[in-house]
Amino acid sequence: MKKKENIDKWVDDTLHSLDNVQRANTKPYLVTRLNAKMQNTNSSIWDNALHFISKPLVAAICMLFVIAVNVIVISKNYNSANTTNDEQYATVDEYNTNITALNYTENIEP
Amino acid sequence: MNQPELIVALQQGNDQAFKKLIEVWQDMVYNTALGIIQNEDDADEITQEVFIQVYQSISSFKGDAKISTWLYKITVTKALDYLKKQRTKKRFGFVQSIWSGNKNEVDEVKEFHHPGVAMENKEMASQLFKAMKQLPNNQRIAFTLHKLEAQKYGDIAVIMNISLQATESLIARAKTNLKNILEEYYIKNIA
Repeated sequence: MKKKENIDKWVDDTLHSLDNVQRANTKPYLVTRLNAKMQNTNSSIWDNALHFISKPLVAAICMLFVIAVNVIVISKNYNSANTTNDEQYATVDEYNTNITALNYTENIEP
Repeated sequence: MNQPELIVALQQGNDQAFKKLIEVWQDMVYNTALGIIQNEDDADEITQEVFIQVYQSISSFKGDAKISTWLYKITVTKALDYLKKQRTKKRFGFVQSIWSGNKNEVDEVKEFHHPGVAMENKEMASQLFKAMKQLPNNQRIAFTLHKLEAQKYGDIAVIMNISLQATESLIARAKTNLKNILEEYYIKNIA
């Protein structure tokens, strides 16, 4: 019983230990340090930008984006190349001739 | 120079007015940050960041609130950002320690001795600060503003942008939680 009372008293005293706390003083020359920091902040916008770009996550996202763009461009080119071939074959079929034969004619004529 | 005059001077970019603002409110900002963060160097860093933000955004200050309330709001926001970053850092450190197998890399709860506490209360105050670190962020901020900055519930509600009832509830829960944490500590370590 006494033990419980002791603990309650300690807890109570601890909760009131900040009752008459004095204010702590800031470190000296805050204004000077602040001016220096503000000047550094203004001059380091490009540094910040470079720092941001060089972050691993940002670099990885950029790389994935470049790869994705490449894949899209290649796949589009591949599809359009296939379409062109199909069209060529259709034309050849329609006029009952072929490209090799036409080239051959062009080559043998003076 | 009264408050409206000071605000006008600040909005006109008057360096003397800015210096005056720092001189008057630096201790308030620093002590608020110190109470929440419990680290003198980081509290100093936050104090600087607060005044830089004030300098950059004074044009948007309409003057409908007290400067002190505005400063408290900025300080609390900055302190919260700091706590979130610290938590992320801690989690990352924990994951890293699992990978490297080095358990010492995980930061333990460090003791903090507030410079303004009387010598006879130093140990107990240190225990209280340690317990405050275990509170959820909003309870920790409300309790700090109430206990260290002697702010009234109504002012805390304005600073934290919550209702008066919510403030009362936050502080009541903070006190109950602190009581439980301290009880557990004393049962384990002293009794």
